[in-house]
Amino acid sequence: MSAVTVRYFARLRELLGDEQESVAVSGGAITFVELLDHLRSVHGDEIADHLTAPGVRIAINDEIVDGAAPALVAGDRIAFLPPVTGG
Amino acid sequence: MTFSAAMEPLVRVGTEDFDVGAEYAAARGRAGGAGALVTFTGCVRDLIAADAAAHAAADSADAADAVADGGNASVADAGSDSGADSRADSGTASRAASGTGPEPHVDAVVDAPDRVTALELEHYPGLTERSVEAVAREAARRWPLLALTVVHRVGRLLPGDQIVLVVAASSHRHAAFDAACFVMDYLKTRAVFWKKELSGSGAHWIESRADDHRAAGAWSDPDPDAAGVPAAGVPAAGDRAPGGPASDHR
Repeated sequence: MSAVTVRYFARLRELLGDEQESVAVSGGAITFVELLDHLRSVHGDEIADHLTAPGVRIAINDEIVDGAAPALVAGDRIAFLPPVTGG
Repeated sequence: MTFSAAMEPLVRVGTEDFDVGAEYAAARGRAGGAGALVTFTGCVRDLIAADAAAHAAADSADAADAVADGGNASVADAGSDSGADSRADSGTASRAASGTGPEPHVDAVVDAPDRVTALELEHYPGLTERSVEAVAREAARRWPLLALTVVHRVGRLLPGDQIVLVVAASSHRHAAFDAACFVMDYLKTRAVFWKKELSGSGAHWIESRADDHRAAGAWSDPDPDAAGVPAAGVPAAGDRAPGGPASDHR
């Protein structure tokens, strides 16, 4: 039950084949780097590289995070947002 | 920067179409006696945007001409560029304008390989609305607006469908024009939407172009200490870089 939710949008959603997944956290918290390592081990290098590609932004609990992503605690939601095109 | 207190922008994101006349009338009512109202409507183009940027480089001269036309049309009223989608081949800008009509003209771009059959706009509920509100509030901070409406559609849209509406009201036309233009330029790079273009040859995600970023960048405050300085109704000339925001919305 102790987990964070990872959401993917647009191109990344299609790439991952799912719009969200749950990642278990032991000890109640997980750093962003640990999360990426986990996603890399599960989805492979190619997809992990897309998640960290230039222009991809991170939102934590529905707020875009600029700069270093803070550690996540159980229950948090993190989203990977590819470059946007509004208007 | 003191303007925002007097005016709360109206922002709406959803699947429903909008009625330009009704939104205009509502904004005019909220603005109470505004001397100037500018409306901009972006519509789905029927020409594929796919990688046109690359091809467009070759015919940039033609494209530029076409854009100028499209831009003027949109400023006049319901132009469309919506650029949204499209790419440098601004040729499509003029097309979008006619796209709402019964018979789109297709003269400007003769080598278009394909037709757009639909556009799918994805968003992040909650976060997307806030991103649009942030753009609208920034416009209200920079110009003395009496009303500002931004409506952005999401979901599956067809060529000719309306995507985005901006209504800006002020005492002076320059403020209304500039605020509407600014909102469109900023929506391109800051609002959280993703567009997927579907055509006979498949589907692809559209990402913002360097042009879009240049256009948005052209509105940067010339002097951070002077934020909000634009005097009543007249934004500082420096708000716009020489040459102004790229081509397609003007």
